Amino acid sequence: MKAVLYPWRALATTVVVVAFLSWWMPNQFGARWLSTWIATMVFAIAAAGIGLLYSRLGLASLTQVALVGVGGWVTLRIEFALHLPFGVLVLVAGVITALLGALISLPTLRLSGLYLALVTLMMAAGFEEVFNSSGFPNGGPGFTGYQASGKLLRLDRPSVARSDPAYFRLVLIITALCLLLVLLHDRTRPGRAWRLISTSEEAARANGVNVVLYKTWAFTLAAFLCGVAGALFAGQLRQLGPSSFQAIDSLVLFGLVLVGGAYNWVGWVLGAVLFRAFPALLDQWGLNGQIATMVAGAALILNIVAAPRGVAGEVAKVVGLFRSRSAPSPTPSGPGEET
Amino acid sequence: MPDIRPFLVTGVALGSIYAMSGLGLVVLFRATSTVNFAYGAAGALGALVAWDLIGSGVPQVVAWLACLVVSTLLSLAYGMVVSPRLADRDLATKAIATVGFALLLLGFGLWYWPDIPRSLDLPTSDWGFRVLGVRVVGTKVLALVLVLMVGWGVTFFLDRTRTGLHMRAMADDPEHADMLGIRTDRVGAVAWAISGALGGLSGLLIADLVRLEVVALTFLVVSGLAAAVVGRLESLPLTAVGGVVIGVLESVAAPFESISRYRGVTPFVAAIAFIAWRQRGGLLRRRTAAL
Repeated sequence: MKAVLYPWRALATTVVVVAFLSWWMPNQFGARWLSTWIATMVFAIAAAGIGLLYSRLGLASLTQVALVGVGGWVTLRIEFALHLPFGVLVLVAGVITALLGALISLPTLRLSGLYLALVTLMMAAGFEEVFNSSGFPNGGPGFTGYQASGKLLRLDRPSVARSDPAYFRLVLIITALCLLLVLLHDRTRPGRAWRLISTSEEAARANGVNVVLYKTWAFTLAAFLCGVAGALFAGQLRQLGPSSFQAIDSLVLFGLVLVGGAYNWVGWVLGAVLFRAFPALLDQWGLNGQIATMVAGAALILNIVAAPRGVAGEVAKVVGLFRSRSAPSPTPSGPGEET
Repeated sequence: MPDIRPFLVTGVALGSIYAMSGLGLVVLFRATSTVNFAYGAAGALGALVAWDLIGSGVPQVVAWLACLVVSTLLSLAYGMVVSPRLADRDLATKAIATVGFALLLLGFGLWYWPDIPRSLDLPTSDWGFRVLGVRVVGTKVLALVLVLMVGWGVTFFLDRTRTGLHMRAMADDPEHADMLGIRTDRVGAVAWAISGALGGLSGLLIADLVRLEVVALTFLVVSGLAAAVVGRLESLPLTAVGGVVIGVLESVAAPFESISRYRGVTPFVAAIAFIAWRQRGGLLRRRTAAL
């Protein structure tokens, strides 16, 4: 049962779940909550990248939300310059962000877990500064494409997904595909390479695993997911601002993925739910959204001290059900254990 | 070419604060091998408490002391409650746990002190003199003097006092230090307290020289980390120099129109460039391997 090479059951389950959600959610929720759920799925895609790097390789990347911003920036810039179809835009944003991810991963590959966290946090802070001062493209002139006034351009959603429910379904399908893409890696060569690298880099190298290639691959894949997420986010809001991609957001999402459970795709989704839907819920109850930040912080500390596999991991332990299929390694391995 | 002299002065002051944050981070890292991402957040809450106290008519000196006490206690609380439970975890995990503490403090700060423009005026800001035709405000001098004093004081403490000796022993090998009968938990707590006090001091100075804003003060830690990275998380003098150089570079970029908007990235670019530079070259390779 453990080594199912052709995951037909997983695929069938995904199709059923996606079909159910795409029928049930738009009926269940009003416009405001539907757009919250769209944003949640967008960040679930980015969260998958965080979880992938943390659980498969033990790497803490604190800049993923900034990369979502990069994806969104690229999407808007290219759209206003070239007017490509939306599907192409999503792919192009993914690929360009992935290239950037590969580029920034190369000098960081030899760093230990701690220095990687430092460097990526500084990148997040740097991106924040750049976003704040250059703004997001809105039809202005020049490379930055930003103008303070004038006719502000907005991104058009694809004609098949103009309305909110339709766009929700589109994002849901893409999110499912992205999660499957990551989980597919576990069953193939890169997944095995990652597992070996996270156990011991030396052993991996001695076994002929190209450590540089597969580490870069993981970063590139995570950045690709961020790029796709950025494009979908741009499509949802149709116009972006720097306030969505502050360094603090990268930290919060990272923390929440760990709280949700980095070792399990359920945990990635849960992290995104805590990131976008929980503050919206607090808001609906008339509570201050900052409580969500406090809860995230406290939960992160508690998680690291007491439950390294996160909520999803604890639930899986109790149920004993996900474990055989979704959790790749039997023991929790924190970042940087190869040091 | 624009006149950069006033920016040079500002840069030294800003850099002094970066340097001081870097020192606070390095002292803690050496003793407890924890990179404290909550360093700036603790200072921010301290400065906000001071702002509240001054607003309610408490004498300024008391308010400043309250700032130091608050940030010291916050740091100490984490150092005594959470940090010992993570003693045998790896460096990255210890650092990530402090991200949680930073978020906790930051969320509290944003919730309790709603976002309104604030500033904290130290009396040194009313006083100033002219150097090279540039007016220098007292607080800027104070920042430089304080960082020199802190750097000297911490070095003296580590080299000449018993607790300092214990701290150095802990930095080298916590397990051996423990076996030799050093109360590593207590020495660690002292390091957390020192680091917290320096965080409060940095918070006060930033609140006067730049502005009193929770998020900005919390992310002061990132600039301090940039300085600490230049000091390889262990050298106090290199950290201090790194902080001042980064501050000067950032400030001097201000009058040049093409790059002025992006000068905020200076600390991060400098630190990343430094790490990348340290990765190359044969001389440093052995060291780098240990990173």
